[in-house]
Amino acid sequence: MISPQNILRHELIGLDVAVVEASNPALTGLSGQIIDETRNTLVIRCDRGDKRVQKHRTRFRVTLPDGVLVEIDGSALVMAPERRISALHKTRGK
Amino acid sequence: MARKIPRSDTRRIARERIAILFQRARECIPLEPARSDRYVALARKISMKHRVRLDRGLRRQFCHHCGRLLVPGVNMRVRIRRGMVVITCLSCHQQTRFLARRER
Repeated sequence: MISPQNILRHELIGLDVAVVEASNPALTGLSGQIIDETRNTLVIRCDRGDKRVQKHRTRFRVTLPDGVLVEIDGSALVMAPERRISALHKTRGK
Repeated sequence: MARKIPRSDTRRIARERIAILFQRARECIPLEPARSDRYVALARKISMKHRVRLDRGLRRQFCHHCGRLLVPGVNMRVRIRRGMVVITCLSCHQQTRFLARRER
């Protein structure tokens, strides 16, 4: 199950997300469902269409399937989706 | 010393992620087949990277040639021929054969 402890290593596609902080000010406040993930970006489906958001230096607030809210530093996600599983993280979610 | 994450742990998460991706692929194939293809590709990447064998149910759910999710009656044809299950993908018209063995 996806939990705040393993969210950095688990599947992000399908989760609801909000951009809390981004170096591009136009992206802060964006919210919607994650529909794709690449090494450097997440694609978020929001009411204004699909937006590709860089992971690096972006803070995301993710809603887990059980309703728990987790804030993630996108810099910790900069990695190919299939490689994240075995990555070791200093801080494991908050 | 670098700590290591036990392989059992990574494989458990890999299995969960593969299940989630196939689920999503099934949900979006009618409206967005390209997105569905992407999810199947991601699931297979995870399975190969972490050496998790897909179970038989999942293995037969996508075309081994073009990678598209196979939906019975929509884009796949299943025939039993000479002791083989022959699956034709109606998206790329390639055939995949599996041995048809009696369940024990």
